Amino acid sequence: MIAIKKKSVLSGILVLEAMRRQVVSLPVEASLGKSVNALIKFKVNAILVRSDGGVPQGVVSGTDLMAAFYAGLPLETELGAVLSSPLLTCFPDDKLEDGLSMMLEQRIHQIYVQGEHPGSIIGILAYSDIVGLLYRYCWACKQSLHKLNSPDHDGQAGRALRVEEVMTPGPVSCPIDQSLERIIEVLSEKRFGAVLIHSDDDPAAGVISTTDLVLAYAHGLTPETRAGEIMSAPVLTCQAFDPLTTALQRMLLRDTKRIFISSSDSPAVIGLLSLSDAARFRSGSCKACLAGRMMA
Amino acid sequence: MRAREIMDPRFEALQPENTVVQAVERFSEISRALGRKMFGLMVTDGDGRLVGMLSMYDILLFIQPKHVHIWGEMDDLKPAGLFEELLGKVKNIRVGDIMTTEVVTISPETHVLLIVDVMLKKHIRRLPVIEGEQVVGVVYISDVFYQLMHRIV
Repeated sequence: MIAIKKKSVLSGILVLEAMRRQVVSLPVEASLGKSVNALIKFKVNAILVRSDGGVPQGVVSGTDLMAAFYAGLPLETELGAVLSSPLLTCFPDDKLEDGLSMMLEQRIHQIYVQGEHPGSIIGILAYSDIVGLLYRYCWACKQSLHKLNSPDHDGQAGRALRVEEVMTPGPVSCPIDQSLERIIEVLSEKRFGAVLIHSDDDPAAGVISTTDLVLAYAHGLTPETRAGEIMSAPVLTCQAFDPLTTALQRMLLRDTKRIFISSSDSPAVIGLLSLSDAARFRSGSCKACLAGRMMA
Repeated sequence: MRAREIMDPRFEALQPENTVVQAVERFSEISRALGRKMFGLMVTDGDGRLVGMLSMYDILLFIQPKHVHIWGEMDDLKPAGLFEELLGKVKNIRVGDIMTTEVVTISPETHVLLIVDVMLKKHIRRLPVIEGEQVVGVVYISDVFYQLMHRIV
């Protein structure tokens, strides 16, 4: 029997090469307010929570803080009251593909990397770092779109992946006068990181992400606040026909986890591309790699 | 020589509720008023207790894309409008969201040798002086430097 192996840009890369070594952690008795500061300051999705002896106890993510906002917990509440455990971990010599599969299966945005000693955490693997790696790999490739005019390029611009091939169509949208409470319910039900906000005359007036809700919580707003008061605008967009590279570059440069997609002939938003969509594709820019994936 | 003799008793502080834009305005106002370039300010709560520090580093760190290292040569980057958009990110951000909360402080009785030691080892250029729970002054590295150097120059 012949084993079929999938091959992709990420094949052969280890977790060690893609992980980030700076792990943001707080003691279990630190307050929720303090964790918001760490989340925003270090631009991370999750905080590792440690006990007195430094042993990891669990993780508090932006989603957990959003739930605390919904539940009306005071910002002084200790992290121990809201943390999720057990901690999902992998090892530095695991294959990056395996780590990525685990993140996709468990629908989590990061996994921690465990060192030799049980309980020692030496790094974190997140979508943005994986996509950054893909972007870098494809940028350096001789066949990349921006090297179209170089003599080494075979001149086939058509093999570049377009945003529409990777995006999730039909983004969810909420009205501008919707309460934050309702928006949190929508995000939790659908397990989304953000919703589009529309007004009567603008289908893409703004966007509210988990981070915006966490900030609203820290700034003392109530869940009855209207969407329009905290939404981020303008909405970061690109066009369905843009090369995937353009969308990745835009997301990575602005530290966002998603970009909304508009069609070229109307202002309507037709889709959403997240970093996890891009990571799932395991290619940063072109079909040359996709075609090479199926190998006997 | 101790902190009490070197510290500048005039200090200004931000509140965690201030927006980052307000903080930047205060940086320049206070620089003008005190006649020294302010690279950072203390953050105090309503009772005058120190809760953090906000420096230019904190603000730049927030504006700077986290993944900037992946643009090795950056020759495919179009800079037009990029900084405006990056700066737009601070609109909803308050001082309390990005301030540094782990702050090293000293007491008025801290010896100058220890002050220099802390400043060198932790790369700190200004140390809040705390008495009880209240801030009473700031020791700046430039003041420490010139106080010590006066003796040899």
